[in-house]
Amino acid sequence: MSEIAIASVAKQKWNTTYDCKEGFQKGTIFPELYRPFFVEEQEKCCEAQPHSETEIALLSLQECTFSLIDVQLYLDTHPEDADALHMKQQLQKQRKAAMEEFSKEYYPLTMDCCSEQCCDVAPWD
Amino acid sequence: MWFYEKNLEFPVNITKTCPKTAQLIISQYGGPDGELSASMRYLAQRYTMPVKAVGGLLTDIGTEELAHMEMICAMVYQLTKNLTIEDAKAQGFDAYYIDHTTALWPQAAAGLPFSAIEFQSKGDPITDLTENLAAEQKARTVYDNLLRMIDDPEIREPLKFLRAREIVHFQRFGEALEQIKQHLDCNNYYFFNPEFDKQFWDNKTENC
Repeated sequence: MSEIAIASVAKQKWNTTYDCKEGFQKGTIFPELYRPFFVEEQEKCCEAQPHSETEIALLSLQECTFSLIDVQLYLDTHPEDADALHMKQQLQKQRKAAMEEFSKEYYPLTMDCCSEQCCDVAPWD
Repeated sequence: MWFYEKNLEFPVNITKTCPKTAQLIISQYGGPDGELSASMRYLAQRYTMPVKAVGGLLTDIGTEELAHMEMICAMVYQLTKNLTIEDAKAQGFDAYYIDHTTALWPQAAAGLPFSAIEFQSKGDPITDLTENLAAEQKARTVYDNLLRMIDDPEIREPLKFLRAREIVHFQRFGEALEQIKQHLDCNNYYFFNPEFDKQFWDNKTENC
């Protein structure tokens, strides 16, 4: 594995993953890739605090979307990993349901969302 | 093709005005190791990648970097949206204000404008993936430096999230480089350029 005259990175093996909520807070669903900076250790991991009803509803969508993003990057370099493929399928279902629910209650997130609500909101406000 | 989802990847809720901090964080928008630079680098490199799966990874990470750029812009926006002239003068934001008021404009912390000179698309997969490994580490160091300097938890939470992503992306680019290597002769990875000398390239792996 270790070679001269070229960079090498060992291939990650599938192991346990954090749940969507914890993965989102840590910035990865993979415990072996969570490597915090020492100055982070002086504080407790404070959860993203939603400020409104809309933000609470959005948070669970953001959490499962993030897990899907992270598992997709894993699949890009491990295309045949059955555990990762299974997790992706579960997350796709979860995200689809969360998107539909959010769009119905609040506002459409993409042009595919069916919603009668207007959408004069900006995600950076 | 891209579609927009009206949603940040990770929430940004900053309630205090602080143009000084905005001026530091803006570097991850338009600075040499910023998210815009990262995104443009990966999205440019992907076309000529000889392994299609690596092109796919570059698309996915390049897309995530756009979402990171949006988070950084949201942070700068929230830190300056209620800016007063007194704040701008007292916290060194006056020069930026003259040219851009409180609008977003991609520049580095020290005021240098965003430039494609800061990244490469070299047309050689070993070279480009090695550049990407370095790029992720450079961005991580910027987040380390920001985390040393900024105390407010509202600002630190998204910065910690973004820092963690750099490490994950580094791992994926490393795995992508291993995939490229599997197509090459391990006794001399540098015998030819797989993106240009196509007569030597074959799709079989395990050449050693």
